[in-house]
Amino acid sequence: MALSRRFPVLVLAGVFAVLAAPSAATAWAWVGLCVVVAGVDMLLSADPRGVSFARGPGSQVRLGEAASTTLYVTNGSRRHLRGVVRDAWLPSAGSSGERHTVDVPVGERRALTTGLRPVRRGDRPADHVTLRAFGPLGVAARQRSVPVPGVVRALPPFHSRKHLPSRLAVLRQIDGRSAVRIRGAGTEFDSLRDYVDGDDVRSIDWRATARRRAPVVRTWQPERDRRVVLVLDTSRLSAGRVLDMPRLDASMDAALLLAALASRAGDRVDLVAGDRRVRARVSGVDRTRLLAELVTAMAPLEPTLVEADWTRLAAGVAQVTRRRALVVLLTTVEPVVVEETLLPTLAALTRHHRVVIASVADPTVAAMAATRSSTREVYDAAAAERSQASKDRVVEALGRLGVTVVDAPPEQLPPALADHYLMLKSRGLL
Amino acid sequence: MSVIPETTEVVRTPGDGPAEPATDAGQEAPAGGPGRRRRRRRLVAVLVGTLALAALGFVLVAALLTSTTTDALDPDSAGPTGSRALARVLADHGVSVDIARGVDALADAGVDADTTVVVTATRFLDPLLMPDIDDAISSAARVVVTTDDPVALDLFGLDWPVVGYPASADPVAVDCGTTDVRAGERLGVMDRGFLVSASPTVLPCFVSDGVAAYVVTERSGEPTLAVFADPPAWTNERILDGDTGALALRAMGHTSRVVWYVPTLDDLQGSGARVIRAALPRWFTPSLWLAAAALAGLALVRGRRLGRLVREPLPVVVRAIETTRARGALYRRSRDTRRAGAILRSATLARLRRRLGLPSHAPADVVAERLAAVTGRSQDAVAAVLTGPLPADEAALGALARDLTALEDLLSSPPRTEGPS
Repeated sequence: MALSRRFPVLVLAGVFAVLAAPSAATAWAWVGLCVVVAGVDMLLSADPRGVSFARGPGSQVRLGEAASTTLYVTNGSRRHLRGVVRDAWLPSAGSSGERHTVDVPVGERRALTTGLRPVRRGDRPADHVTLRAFGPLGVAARQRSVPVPGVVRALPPFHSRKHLPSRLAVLRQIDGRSAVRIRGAGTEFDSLRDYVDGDDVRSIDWRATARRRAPVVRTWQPERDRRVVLVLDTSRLSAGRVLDMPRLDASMDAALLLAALASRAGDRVDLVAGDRRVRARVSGVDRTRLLAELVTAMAPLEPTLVEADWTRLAAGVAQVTRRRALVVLLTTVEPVVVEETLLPTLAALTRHHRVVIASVADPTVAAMAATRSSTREVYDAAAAERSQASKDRVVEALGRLGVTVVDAPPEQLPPALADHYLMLKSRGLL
Repeated sequence: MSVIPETTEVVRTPGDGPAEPATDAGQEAPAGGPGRRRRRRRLVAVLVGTLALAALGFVLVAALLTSTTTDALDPDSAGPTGSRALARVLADHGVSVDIARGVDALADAGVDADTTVVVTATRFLDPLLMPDIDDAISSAARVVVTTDDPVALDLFGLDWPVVGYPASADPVAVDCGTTDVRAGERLGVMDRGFLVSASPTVLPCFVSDGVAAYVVTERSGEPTLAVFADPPAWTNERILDGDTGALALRAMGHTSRVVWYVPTLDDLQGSGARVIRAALPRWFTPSLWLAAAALAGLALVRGRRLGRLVREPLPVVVRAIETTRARGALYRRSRDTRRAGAILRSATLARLRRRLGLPSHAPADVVAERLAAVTGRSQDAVAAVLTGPLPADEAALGALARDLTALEDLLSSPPRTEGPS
């Protein structure tokens, strides 16, 4: 049961009746008439129970980009359907134009498209679909809400992909350089190409140059088919917000850039994400589908407010690969956590693998340490320095274990991690 | 509205000044503490004030209500100033007495040609209500009024002057042409009378020097109007004076029914609205009802949601910096200037060692020596900052923090030319 705005207008129209016969009885009789009209109009509307809904396939979209969803309305009732349909979504699904005016003859079907622009990462489900079917006069309506399942998956935005072209260029340079460094062993002949300024003259292939009458160099491809295992920490540390973004999102960004780079470099990339248990795992995926698989696996991950169980995550790494690999732990260097839970695990992990920790640093700590104008700020600065010092001590301890820590603010972490990878690659340390 | 004076704001001293303990304590206290207490005190004050106002208003209204009770000449009142005796005796003589309180009751009383309307409490008649009263009593056989008020007389269309009754003797009746009065009857002491001359339709009685105490006016097409000049005479206290009672009974007893109109407070209050309503066109009020109904309809239209509100669980917002800030607050609360100073100094030393190319375990005096050598500052001054005693109070801590920053700046930006010296 619902009324439209025509109902109060209809009631107000009773003024003419009152002008003709000015008495209270006229007024109340008119109101009664209006109620009867509304009741009859409602009874003459299409029965919402006879109307069925179906939804088109769910969509995936990068966070911040627009998608849409299609809802099919089939009029299975015995009357012409005129009314309003609201396709309700969670607020964070960012739906726009979710109210549709529908006019469906008996037995026909219409498609309604609602725009979506998710504002939070992950699966954003639809809520109920509500139909308000008006009668022929459009005064009163019957209303019904039904759940019509649907979901839009907001993938990690991968903002750092802007850094990819420059890193790929570096990767191509490494090709030549690594050939120079460790000529012969461990490098594979790739192709011949024209000499350009800057190429090492030692890589000129003289036989080909003689044939072509122009200098030609051999290019070498670096070692391929190394393994990179990304370990994404979704524990309480990843919930902390740095510059109003959860650390987890910054870690994902870094992981995606590294994965994109490593897969182009011919390495195999696997992902293990979890806290007390493994929540997502991607392994053995073809490199063309790798990024899509990774973002899909990452999309529904949310930080949980529990401590990470590094022993279990290390076991997850062991399941993914038994060969030596580059294990990248995307977490935060938090002195207490590292000393109590991470160090014992790392000791075991470093025996088989090269381990790098990519830690999301908070630039406000440095700002806090530098601001010292009032007494209060001096105390805060001392606290910041203390945090920084204990972190430095832990990084040092990790370094003695052979673990490198890449510690950078959210914006700089992805390129810093990528650069570290390229450095390892160029030195053949993978 | 607050009775409580505003508490003075805590004075904030800049960090470098000699911080007074009291001042800083106020600054340090969690924001909720004193603010919440002050808010609660203000709330109590507002509550007490409201209650006091309400009580005062109640007392005032009660006093007003009791002071304006209109029980003088009330047919139900058995007190000395009431008129219950008169009404009872009338009823005993077979006259049905209906008391109409208020104009609406009078209009609903069904006044007809066998009805006498009695109006005694003329003090409370409202001129604005007279059209309604006239409407209600126009079909009565007789209207009996007792008043000594020229204004009230005017309301009934009489313009006789009200004058003092000659004090010579008790008023004695002679035949004056109405059956209400019998020759030789006497009244008690009269105060006032009407200066009126006899005519075929105006019959003054108890006349002395041209001043009448009781006048009956015959009017064509309208009820006969009988006016008595001494309202107090019809009270329970004085009804037995002379032949007053007999006169009153005869004046009211012409018909088998009496409607006794008593003006009420509601009449007085409602009189303005009554007049406005009479001035409005007849369609206005029904239209107003329609508008109200339409508004209610609009509320129904707007009140029905198109589907339920969608709820969404939101993530917990944890700022990563929180632990560090909490540590800072902890230092501040415990006023641990030594620890804070030591931390700041060791952080600076660590950075200086890196920049000066010294091993990470180089002692502080070595760093000071090297720094003095590099920057050209006096070694004592540098050593005082890097190895001197730890700050004992907040002022010293602030000074140390600034000095340490200055030392680092010295190293990081040596080419900067100093200002004019």
